[in-house]
Amino acid sequence: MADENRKNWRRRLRAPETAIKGEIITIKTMAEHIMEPGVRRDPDTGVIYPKKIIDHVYVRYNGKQVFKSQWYSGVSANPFMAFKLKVESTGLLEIEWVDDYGQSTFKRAVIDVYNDKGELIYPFAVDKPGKNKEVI
Amino acid sequence: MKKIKNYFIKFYIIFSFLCGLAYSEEKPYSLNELKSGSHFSRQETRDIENDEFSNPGMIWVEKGEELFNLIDGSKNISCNNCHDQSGVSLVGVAINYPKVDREKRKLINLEQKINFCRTEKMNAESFQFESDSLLSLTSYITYLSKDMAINVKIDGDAKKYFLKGKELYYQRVGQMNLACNQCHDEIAGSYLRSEKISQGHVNGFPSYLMRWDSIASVHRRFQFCNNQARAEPLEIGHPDYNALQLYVTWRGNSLLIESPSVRR
Repeated sequence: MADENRKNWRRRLRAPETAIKGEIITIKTMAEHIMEPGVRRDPDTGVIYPKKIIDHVYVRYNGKQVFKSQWYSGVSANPFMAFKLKVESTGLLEIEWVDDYGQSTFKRAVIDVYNDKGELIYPFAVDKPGKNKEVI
Repeated sequence: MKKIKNYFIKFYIIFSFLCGLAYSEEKPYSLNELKSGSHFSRQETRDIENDEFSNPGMIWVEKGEELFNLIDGSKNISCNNCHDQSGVSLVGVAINYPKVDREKRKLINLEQKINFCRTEKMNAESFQFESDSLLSLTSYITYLSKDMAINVKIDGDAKKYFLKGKELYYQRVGQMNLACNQCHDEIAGSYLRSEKISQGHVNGFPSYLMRWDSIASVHRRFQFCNNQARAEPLEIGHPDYNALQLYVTWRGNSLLIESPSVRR
């Protein structure tokens, strides 16, 4: 069993760096966690190990929540989660894991989204260069 | 002068011929029959193992790489200072272990070698067996020689350990009165409840075992095997387990290292 006092639990996230508009991409995540279900006993002393699991996972894209996932005891240690996402614009993907002690950890990735012509699609409106001639 | 030189050449040829007659023994499996443990595991388990992202053992490898570069001890050096920076690469080191150490003059495995290196070269504290740090470092160093063929030597100094290991392999132990060869040689490939019995090679170790949610060393797996036969297990790092590890590793000579493997 891993050292419980360690704070910097490892979080892994794999997302494609670039995508085409409207493409469905696969995102894989893995969190290093002991996921103690709260029913196991120490074989020598008989003391029950306290429950410690990740119970909420939030997925956000450009600050907007894509989905929320609630987990209960029984999920295996070092949980692996994969999902598909349809992207329309360039954005910041953020996964947040919260355990039942309230400790929150996150991992981020940026996905560049291009249209068919090869132009980067921004998540906000951008003035095209050359139009604003008044600014000197 | 020329005569003396000729004499030396002759002597050298005879000597090398004698060395060529090194200790050799026949393996229980021919080269075609030799199969790694992943051959006997299920397709789903193999898929997890082959994808480096979904393989949980890679967490330990990453931690080991961090520890490899971590400065520790009173000399203020890390493993990296001696090994990578001065050109003594650790790639392909893991295929030779367990082996007889020149300074210690006894058989040691990779975990013990790391601890000797730490206490004597770095003046740092040695890690406990089966601690997270030691398993991480071992996994990282074994991972460096992934896809290389195992090649342990059993001649010379290692011969007596090899014979001891062979004796232990064929010795019946425990209430079940079982020896290793009864399962792993005679009925390998058949089902034991829901699992297929493997040929008992250790090319995947340190291996991620799902039943323990952690990387495990060969010795811990030996302890588990002994428990299954209802025998009293030895402690981790025991010389007898080292000898047994030498024999079992030799059985799988020429298999490719696939650590960190995933097993149930």
